[in-house]
Amino acid sequence: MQIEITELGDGLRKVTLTGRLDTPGVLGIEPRFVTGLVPGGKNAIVDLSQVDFIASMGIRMFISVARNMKEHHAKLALYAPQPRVDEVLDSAAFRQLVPVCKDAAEATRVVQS
Amino acid sequence: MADCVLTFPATFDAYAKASAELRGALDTRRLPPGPRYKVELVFEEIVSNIIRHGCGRNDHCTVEVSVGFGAGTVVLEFQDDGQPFDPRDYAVADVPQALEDAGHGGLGLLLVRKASASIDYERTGQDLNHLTVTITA
Repeated sequence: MQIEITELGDGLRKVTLTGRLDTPGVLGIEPRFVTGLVPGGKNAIVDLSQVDFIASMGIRMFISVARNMKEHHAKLALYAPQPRVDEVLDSAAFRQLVPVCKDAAEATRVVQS
Repeated sequence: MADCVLTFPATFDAYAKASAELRGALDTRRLPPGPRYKVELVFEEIVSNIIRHGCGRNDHCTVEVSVGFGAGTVVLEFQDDGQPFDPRDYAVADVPQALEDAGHGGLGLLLVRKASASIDYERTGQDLNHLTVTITA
């Protein structure tokens, strides 16, 4: 699993994840994901288009970071999940907790609203 | 007789290798994407639970996973020598309605239940956990 964090300006960060969000994948990127997003109080959008697997560990990572960001008055939104990933997010009722959007433009509107 | 048998220590390093081996075995089977994903998901959730909770700090815990491909089904059998645990007895919490209430456990088992056609468990005479999960292919 690879992670890239980009500053987009206007208090917004973009995260691009590539690979599998299984247990080894999450263990490999979670420290950088947390330290890259939680401090600073900036909103963030996460590109899931290159993530081809997610399980409960990855979902819990997003929930935990979203909760911590909320305490810093910032929002998190994910976008462009692959179909099988999207199904798992639905199974976990994830959308009730963190927005999952169609694309970067929608995710940006959601976190900046 | 199982089509694929993986035996490995209950560590996350060994799990990563076993997971790659499972995916290699699945590559040869050409399962439809939906059932294939469910097989990988059940493997991830059950094995990571065994490592994290069933075996804990026991460095000598071993996991064996057998995968059998039948007509319209994939059957995964998990065997480990960790603490007794019947996942059917675990009460999964209601879906949280707020971020503050989320992430307190049970999500992995919820996903396994939703992905599976059936789940069977026994504690064997050899004092092993034996879990059988059937997925519709």
